[in-house]
Formats: sequence, structure tokens, C-alpha cells
Amino acid sequence: MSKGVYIIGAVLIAAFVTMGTTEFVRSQTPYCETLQQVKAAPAGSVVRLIGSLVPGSANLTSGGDLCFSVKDKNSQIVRVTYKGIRPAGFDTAPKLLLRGTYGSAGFAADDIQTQCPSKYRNK
Amino acid sequence: MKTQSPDSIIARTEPGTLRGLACVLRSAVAVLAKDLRCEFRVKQAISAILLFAVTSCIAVSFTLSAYGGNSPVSATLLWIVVYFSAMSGLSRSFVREEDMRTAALLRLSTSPGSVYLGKLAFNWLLVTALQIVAVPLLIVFLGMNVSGWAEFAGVMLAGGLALSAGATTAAAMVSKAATKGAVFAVICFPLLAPALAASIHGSSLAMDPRAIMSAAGDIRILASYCGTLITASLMLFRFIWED
Amino acid sequence: MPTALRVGLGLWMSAVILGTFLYVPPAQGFAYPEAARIVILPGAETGTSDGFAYPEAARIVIFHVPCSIAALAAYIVSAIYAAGYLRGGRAISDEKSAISAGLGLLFTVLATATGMIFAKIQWGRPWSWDPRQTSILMLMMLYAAYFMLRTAIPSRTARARISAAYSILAALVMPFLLIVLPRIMTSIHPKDTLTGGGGLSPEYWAALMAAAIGYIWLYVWLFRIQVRVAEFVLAARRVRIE
Repeated sequence: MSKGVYIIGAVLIAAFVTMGTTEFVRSQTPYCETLQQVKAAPAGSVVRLIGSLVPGSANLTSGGDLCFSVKDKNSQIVRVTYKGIRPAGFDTAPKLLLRGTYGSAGFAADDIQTQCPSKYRNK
Repeated sequence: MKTQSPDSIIARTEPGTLRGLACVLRSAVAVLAKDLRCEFRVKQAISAILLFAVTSCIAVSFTLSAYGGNSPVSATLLWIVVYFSAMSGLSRSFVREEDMRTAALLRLSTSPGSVYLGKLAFNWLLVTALQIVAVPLLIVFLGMNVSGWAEFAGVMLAGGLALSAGATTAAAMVSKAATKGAVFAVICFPLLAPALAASIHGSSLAMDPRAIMSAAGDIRILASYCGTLITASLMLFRFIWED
Repeated sequence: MPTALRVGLGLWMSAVILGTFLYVPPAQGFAYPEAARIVILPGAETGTSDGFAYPEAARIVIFHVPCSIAALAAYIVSAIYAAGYLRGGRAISDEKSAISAGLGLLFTVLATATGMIFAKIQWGRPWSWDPRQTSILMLMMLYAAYFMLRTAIPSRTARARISAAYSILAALVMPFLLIVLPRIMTSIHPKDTLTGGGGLSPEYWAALMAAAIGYIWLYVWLFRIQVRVAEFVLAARRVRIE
């Protein structure tokens, strides 16, 4: 087989590997820092919201969902419902990264990531 | 130690040219037709695969029907059934060539790329047939519940193609080995692990009506995995296949 | 390898070991090292408790992460020699590919073992199907299968060709195993995850890089020894090396 075929093949493979390893969802879900941006997104679309937990607002509903309030960059408060186990470090995390959709009942999150401030640092 | 093919075959099937590409595809279809004809005569691989699938569907549904429904357990069970049935049957296409001593004739008559594409298509048809049997069985026996059929079908097709791509390459590698069955399964698993994970995850997303994420991300991963594997296999196949 | 370099390797690794215990301070919080994230699993997250159970134990990361770095380098070298064999057909290229894969497997096993020790100390269980653990296990299985394939094919030339093809395929599948698989696993198990935040103090960086250099140095040394043995064996069997 000619050299050209190998080069085309190598380029194709590199393209496929890049396509597979760059996260699809991240390109589709915009990062929002304010509630206005969340509301501006198309209805029902998945977005990511960064905010901080309003202390003491977390509670469990009767259906087992976690409900809490999150404050965005402009100090606007939005009510969040999360179906899942409360993540470790949830109460003490300075920032929460939520992924979900915004609707009439508030923000429905299917993923919470907690930002951890600790590092490999000296005591 | 370079392998030498007759010049005429290279000239006719050189994939660098467009006419060569058409030649390769036509030969691939011929290989596929030959395999299908042989298969319908003997029904060796298809019966092994389907019987394995039916048996394992019933075996898992026997005790685990409580975990059916939309839970990710049913997606996992579905893909375990599909994967192991494939392991039991997909190596047949190359092993039969070696056993029936037709491999040398196949090597002479067509280019490696055509052989690979033909066998890949054959294996993909086998896997799709297997899925068509396994999904209704699990729906009935395990109580599996699919809500998004379009996405589910997409994941099944993409996952099946990924499974066949890896299995076809592995089967070719194993056809010269001594203990074919064991080596085949051992080689396939780490090669196919990302595809298996993506398929399971995508199927569970497609089945679950409450899922926010769509399975499109997993289909994309499967497509890029297939692309990588098929492109690499096409380039490497002449080394695996020829003497 | 000349004596000076061998002695140098010994001194270097001794310095790394001493430095780990005397120079690097115990870690307070927990964050997966940036180096490992960038080199091995970009974007991979892990669940954890706040703070280390035994801050002194964090030092194991200085031996754990460079093992994975050395393993990855070895696997890539193996694929390169495999491609060289397919182009040129020299038996020694095939031997080099196998030797490099073997050393890579050695470093992968070491990385898995140190990771399990770390996990037992930090999380209480040696194995918890953490995405990173899963992918290192898959990597180990990938190259274990490589050696199984090699032992299964009796003909020397067929073995060389097929294992060369497998080595290249394995190297191409590695990005999927190391990057895509953990992402899918964190989607399946949406545990508490970490974003950003993590960092390495300069002492940890220095020790990690030094250990990585030491391990790669060690890999080169072992590689050269084994290549010389392979050359003798090939010559004894009257196989043309070039």
C-alpha cells in the first residue's frame, strides 16, 4: 500500500481518537454563572450552573430527592432538586457545579460536582 | 521480510485509487456473500450464537427479574448476553477458513482489505441478528423496559459495529493460534472494554425515561471508536492476514 | 550502560527516596495530582473524604504516579518498534517491541499495586472500581493479552507480525481506555467528584518529576540489558538479526 494511504489512515485515526476523547457533553452544555444565563438557554436544554450552596437550605423530600438552594454569581437564589445521594463534601464545598435543566419547578439537577479547596500542600 | 503479492492483484485492488476502492468494495461484498451462503448451508455460527443467547437470557432472567425494568442492571445484562454470545461465535468466520483449508485460496483471490470488510459485515449481521433475538427475550423474561426506541436502536447498532470490528480483527489474529477459543475471548475483552462500557451506558440512558442526558454522547464515542478500530485494522490487516 | 550511568541511577533513586521522606512535607488535603491528571486521565475525578487519613501516606504518590508515566512511555515505545518491524521485518525490532511491552507491564503492575496500597489507606478498601483503577486494570489486561497471544502462536514470523499488529492496536485503544472509560464510569456512578482546586506544592512536583526521570532511566537500563540478551539468543539460533 502506498505511503499516501498510511498518511490518510493516520490522519483519520487521529481525528477519530480526538473526536472520541473530547467530551461531547461539555461542548453541548454551556457553563452558566448567573440565573439569567440559565433562563436565557432554550427551554428544557441541559446546562451547567456554578453556584454556592445557601447554608442550611438542604433537605430531603418525601420522594428521597435532595432539595437545596443555590446562590449564583449575582446572589440570586434558585431552588435545586437532585435525585441521588448527597455527595461528600457537599455542605463544606465553596462552589457546586450542577448539571441539569431549568423549569417551572426550579433547577432539576442530575449531576453535582463539589469543588474541593484542599491540595497537596504543607500542613 | 516483506510479503509479496502478485502485481496484478495490487494493481487491481490498490485502495489509493478510486477505481481500486470500488474493486475493494465489490470484493468485500463477494466475501460477504460467500460467507452468508456457507453459513446458510451449515448454520454453524448462527445457531451457536443464538442458542447461547437464548440460554443466557433465560439464565439471567431466572433469578434477576426483580432487577429488570429501567434499571442499569438490565442494560448490563443485555450487553453481557450479547458480548459473550458474540465471543462464542464470531471467531468462527476465520477459524473455519483455516480448518476447511480455504484460507490460502481466499488470500490469493482477493486483497486483505476486502477480506476484512467482508468478514466485518458478516460479523455485524450476526451480532445484529443476535440483538434482535436477545432484546425481545429480555423484555419478556427480565421485564426490561425501553422508553426511547430510536436512541436504543442507535446504541445497539453502533455498539454492535464496535463489537464486530474488534472481534473480526481479534479473530484474524487468533486464527493462527493454538488454543483459539480462550485466546480470542482474552484478547477481545480489553480491546472492547471502552465500547462495552459506552454501549451499556448508552443503552441504560436510552431505556430510562427520566434520564436527562441523551445517549448521543455514547453513540459518538462508539462511532469514533469504530472509526479508529476499523481504519487501523484496514491498515494492519495485510500483516495479520497474509503469510 | 556505562558504570558511571549505573552508579548515577543508584544515587538518583536514593536521592528520590530520601527526599520523599525528608524534603517533601506530609499533605494536608487531598487532590489528585495535576501531573497524573494531565498525563494520564485528563478530567478524571475521584471520590474522597476531606483530608488524608494518614497525611504521611500521601508520599506514596511520588512512587505511584511515575510508574504509570513510565508504563505509558514503554507501551508507546513498544508500538513504535512494532511499526518498525512491520516496515522492515528485522527480528530484533520484534524482540524490542516485546521487551518494551514487558517492561511496561511490569510498571503497570507496580502502579496498580501501589495504587491499591494507597486506596486501602485512604479509602479503606484496596479496590473500589474507581475509574482510574478500572482503566489501569484494563491496561494491564490489554498487555497481558499481548503476551498470551505471543505464547499461543507457534510460528516465529507469524507471531512477530501478529503481535506487532496487536501492539499498534493496543496503543491506539489506550486513549479510549484511559480517557473515555473513566468518564463513562463517573457517569454511571455519579459519586462526589472533585473539580479544579487540586494542586501540588513545589516539593511534590520536584519529587514526582525526579522519580519519573529515575523510573525512565531504570526502564532504559533494563531495556538495554534485555535487548542484549535477545541479540545473543537470536544469534545462537542463527536467526539473521538485520
